[in-house]
Amino acid sequence: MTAAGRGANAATPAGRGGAPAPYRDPTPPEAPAGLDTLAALPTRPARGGRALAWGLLLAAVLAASVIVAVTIGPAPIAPSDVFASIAAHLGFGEPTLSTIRDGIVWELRMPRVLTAAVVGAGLALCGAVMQAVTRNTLADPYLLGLSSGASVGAVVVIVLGVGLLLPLAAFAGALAALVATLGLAMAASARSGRGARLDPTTTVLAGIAVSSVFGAITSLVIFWSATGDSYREILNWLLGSLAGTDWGSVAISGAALVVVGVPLLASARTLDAFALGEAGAAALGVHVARSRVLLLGGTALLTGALVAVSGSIGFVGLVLPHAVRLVTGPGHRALLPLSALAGAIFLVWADTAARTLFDPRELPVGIITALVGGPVFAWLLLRTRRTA
Amino acid sequence: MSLDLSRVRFDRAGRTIIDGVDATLPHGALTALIGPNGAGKSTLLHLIAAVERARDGELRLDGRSLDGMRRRERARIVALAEQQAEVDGRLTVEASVALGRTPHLGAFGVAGPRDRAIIDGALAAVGAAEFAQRHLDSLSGGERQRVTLARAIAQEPTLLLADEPTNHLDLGSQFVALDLLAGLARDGLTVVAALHDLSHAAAYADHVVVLASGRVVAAGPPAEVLTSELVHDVYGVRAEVLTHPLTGRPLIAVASAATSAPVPIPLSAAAGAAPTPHRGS
Repeated sequence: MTAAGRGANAATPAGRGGAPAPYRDPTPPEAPAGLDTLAALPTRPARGGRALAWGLLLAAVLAASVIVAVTIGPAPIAPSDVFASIAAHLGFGEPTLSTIRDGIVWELRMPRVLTAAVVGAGLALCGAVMQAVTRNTLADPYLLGLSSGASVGAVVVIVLGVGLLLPLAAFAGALAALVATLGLAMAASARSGRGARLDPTTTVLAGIAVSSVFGAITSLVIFWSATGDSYREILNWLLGSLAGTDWGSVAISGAALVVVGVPLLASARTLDAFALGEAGAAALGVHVARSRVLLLGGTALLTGALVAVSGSIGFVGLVLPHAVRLVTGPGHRALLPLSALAGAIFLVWADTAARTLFDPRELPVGIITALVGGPVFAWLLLRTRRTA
Repeated sequence: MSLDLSRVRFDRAGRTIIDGVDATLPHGALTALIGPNGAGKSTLLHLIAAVERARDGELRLDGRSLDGMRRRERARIVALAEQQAEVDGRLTVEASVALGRTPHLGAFGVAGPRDRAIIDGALAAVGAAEFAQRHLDSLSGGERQRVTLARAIAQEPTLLLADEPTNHLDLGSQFVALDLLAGLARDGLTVVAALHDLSHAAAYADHVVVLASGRVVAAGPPAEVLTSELVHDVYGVRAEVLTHPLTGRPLIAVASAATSAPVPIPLSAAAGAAPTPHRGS
């Protein structure tokens, strides 16, 4: 039998390719072409063009938004005043504005608008990265509890009066919350018999548990120690507010955005590969475990710095990447920078609304972002439930 | 010219999955990796593709150690085509295949005309060019399998690993996938496919490696390896090996579960397969 089998093999000159020929009859209509079609195919023009055009457009809109947002407020400021102030402070030309008007532009509104832009960009970037790494469309620094954790760290340090440690403590808080959420979600997934794979909805539930506890701790610490208006303080940390931001806030959040954001932007290909799942990414040469720790650690670091200046602002990190994905598709080389730009524009306008809508009273900006983001989140949740 | 495994061992959670595998997988040939569930077929492919690290042993491709290579370098040589339910269904077919270029592009590298030509060639090779812009979650199982193979082809590997490439496919699609793999082997690739259907292995493979409980129990040309004794010993079924009337290749005719006692399943394996609460789907 063995000899006969081998003999039949040997007698078919085409070898293995020829042997199973009868199986292929009738030939399937979409029979594969050979690899030799490779040379004959026309090449398409580069596809980065569309994303680049969007990037330039959004960058222009962001620049215009910053200028216009600075002009909006109780004291009338013209766009030309903004340019004059910027020029004077950057050392071009003599100051032409009165000291008071220049102060409004340069000391009050400009740092606040820039902080809003940086925080919005950073949150959207963190959201996009977390969604890819955790393979969870509902991931963002707020829903997974990082923002609440960072708030605890920040508030404790402020109460203790060691302001220099503020970003560091916020980072530690964010990291603790991240570990708690993912640990809890993994334990819950393991119990449900689905192995260590993180189910998106379970992860969000774990995030809600972790952020309520951390939110409560934040409130407690403020309530315990506050001398003045502790309720307003508590609201500002829990809902997020950019009231009282100054150039120091711009420096802290801006430095974090550059230091963490650039490596995150450079990880676009790794994030793309995560779309194939763990084994798929590893087979493409990605060091999955190390990348995951570095990328999530980076988002915790950035979230910490952002929350230290703004409190925990929700939904920016969740919604903006989804909006951008509708335009660019899931590729991260376009998604990450465009999400950052869109997040910056969004938060500049959300904060402008927060400080002017009920003038002279100020709304925590998180209320605006939640008003917009909550319904979008509900829609995403329904979609995830259906496809999960 | 071959992939040589020597004394490869791997444990997971204190249990030995791969228990000292020695095998030589010839170059330019299709090797079928067969064996019952839990024999370690997928794990062995994962070890070769560096998805997981072997505890012990050595992997050499044409005499060159795979373990000494950087991950990206290794991914340019070894591609893994998996049954991937895990892949994000929002990707387009083309974007999914383009991911195969990842190990060839640096962090800042932009896909150039050559990369695009390779992606287009891979799409054409599996007959997926006409649905290149569709999203993965709109594809049939057979179409998805072809996309998975296209991604592996776009990786330009010298060694292509396919984990159950015919799983969940209808009869016609199964043979499309196998023809593709056989064609790639003919083009000079070393192709290793974990297969469940012994007749597929018999019809397509140049070389068969039989795995049971993490060990190689037989290896060689299909006509030599696929005997009724082996099928009985490994799978615990009664089978007769005939000669295929059309191809002259071995044809495994399975009659029923074995009349004599089947191969005992190791206790540890049985414990691992303990009934888990299963949600109705």
